Amino acid sequence: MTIELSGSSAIVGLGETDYLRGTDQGVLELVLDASMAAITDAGLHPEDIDGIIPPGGYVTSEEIAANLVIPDLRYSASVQMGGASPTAALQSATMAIATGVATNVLVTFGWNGYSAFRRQKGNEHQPRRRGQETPFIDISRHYYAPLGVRAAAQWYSFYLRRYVDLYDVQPEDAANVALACRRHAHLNDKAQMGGREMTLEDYLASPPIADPLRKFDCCLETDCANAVVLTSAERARDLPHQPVLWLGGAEGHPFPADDITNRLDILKLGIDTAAPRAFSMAGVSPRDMDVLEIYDCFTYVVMMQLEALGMCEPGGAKEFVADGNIELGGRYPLNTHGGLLSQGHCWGLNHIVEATRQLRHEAGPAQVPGAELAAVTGYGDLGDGSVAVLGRDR
Amino acid sequence: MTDGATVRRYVPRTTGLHRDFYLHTLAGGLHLQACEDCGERQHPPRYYCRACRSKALSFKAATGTGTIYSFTVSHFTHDPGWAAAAPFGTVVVETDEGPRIVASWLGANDDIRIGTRVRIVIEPVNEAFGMLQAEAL
Repeated sequence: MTIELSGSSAIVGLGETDYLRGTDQGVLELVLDASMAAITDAGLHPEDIDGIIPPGGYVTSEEIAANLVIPDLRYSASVQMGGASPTAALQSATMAIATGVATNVLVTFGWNGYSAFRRQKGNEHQPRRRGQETPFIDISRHYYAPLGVRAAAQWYSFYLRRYVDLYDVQPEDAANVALACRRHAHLNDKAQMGGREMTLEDYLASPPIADPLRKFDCCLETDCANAVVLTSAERARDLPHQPVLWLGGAEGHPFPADDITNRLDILKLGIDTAAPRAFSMAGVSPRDMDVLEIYDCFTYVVMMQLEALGMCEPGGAKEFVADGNIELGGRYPLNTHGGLLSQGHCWGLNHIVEATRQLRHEAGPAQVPGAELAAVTGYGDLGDGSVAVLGRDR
Repeated sequence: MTDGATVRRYVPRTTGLHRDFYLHTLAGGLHLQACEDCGERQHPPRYYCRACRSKALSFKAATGTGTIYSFTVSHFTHDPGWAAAAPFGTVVVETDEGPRIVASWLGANDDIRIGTRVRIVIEPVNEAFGMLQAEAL
C-alpha cells in the first residue's frame, strides 16, 4: 500500500517568540511559549496535540507535554539534522498524520543560541542548556577541533573555498544575499536587524571570520523559539486560518555525512538529493515558486542551495542573486522575513513560519502579492539538507 | 589573558579507531586504514571498508605527502587556546594514497594555495594524540 503524502497535511498554526540577543528565559520556556502561540493560532487546545517533534537535544517532547498538560502523547520523534531538522520534521509530521498515527502534530524548535554560549558572571539565571552532542562528534572532536576548527564557519569554508574558486564567486556576489535579507528585515518588526542599514561598503568592510566568510556572511546568534502545528488537509479546512498545504518534501544527506573532507564531490550537499525528490512529489517545478525561504546560515551556502534546488544552473547563483531578483519586487523574493542573517537564527523554523504567512497572505509589508507556492530549505550539521514545497490551499 | 599565562588548547581524549589512528601515526608517521581484501585506503577510520565492506582493515604507513585540496584561514575560533594564533591556516590535504586529512598549516597564510605539494608533520601532544600539520615540500 502506498499512501499519497503530497497535499495530505497542512500547516494550520504558527507561533514565535521575540528574537533576542540575551535573555534569562531558558529554552524550555521559549519553546513552550512559541508552542502555545501556535496551538492557539490553530484554533486548537493543547490536549488536541497528540504528536510532538522537537529537534534533538534542547528540549524533549515529554517536557513539552508535561508543561502544556498534554496527557495522551501518541507520537514523539526527533530529527538529528542540525538546521535541516525543522524542515525535515514536516515530512515526519505528514507521515504520522497520513498514516493515522497522530492527528495534530506540533513541530517546534528553540534555543538559547546567544545566552547559553556566553559566560555571564553573577547571573544565576543564565540559561545553560546547549543541546546534545552533534551526530558528527566523533570526527569533529578527533580531527577538526584539535586544530582550532570548531565553528560551522570554519567547517563549511573547506567546501566554500572550492565553490568560490570553481565559479569565480566574488564577495560582491555573496553580498547580494546579505543585502536582500537586510532590506527585508526592515519590513519586519521582529527582525533583530530591522532599521539597521547595511550598504555594500559596510559588507565589504566587515571583518574576516574564516576565509572566504566575513562577518556579514554569517547569521545571528539568537535566543528564540518557533512552532507550527500540522494536521490533515481535510481537517485544516475547518480551522480558523487559510490552510497552507505541504505539497512535497524530502531530506538528503551528503556522503559521508559525518566528515566534510572525504566526499567524492565536496560540493554535493544533502539538498542536492532532497530537492528533486521534493519537487517531484509536489508535481511542480522550482521555477514555479513565488517565494523562496532558503536556509541562510551563510550567504554562500544560500547560493549553493539555489543551484541544488534547480533555480539556476551550477555556478549560476551569482547571476541569480543579482539585480534585485531575490528582493521583494523581483521574480524570486528570498527570505522575506530577513532570514537567519537579519531576523534571527531559529534553525529555519522561522523560514517555515514566514512561508506560511506569505501563503496565508498575512505577511504585511513583506507580502509577495498573490503568493501561491513557496519553497523552504533546511541545512544543517556538515551539509544535511531538507526541502519543503508549500502551497496555498485553493 | 594575563601576562605569561597560557591558555590550553583543546586536546581530545582519543577513543576507538581514532585512538588507533593516532597511536600508529605517533609511532610511525602518518598511517591510513587499508583494506586487506581489496587494498582500498580510507580516512577517517571506519569499521567497514568503503569499497568492499570488508572488516579486514588495518593501519598501514602512508607516504606522508600530498597536495592541498582546500583550506581556510581562521580569524576567529571558539578555542581560547588558539585565539593568540589567529589568523591561522588549516588545510585539507589529499594524500598521495587518496584519502584527505585535515592539518594545521606551517607557514605564512598568504602562501596557502590549492595544489601545493606538502608533507605531513606530526607534533606529539600526549601518548595517544598528535597534531597533524602540513608544510610545503
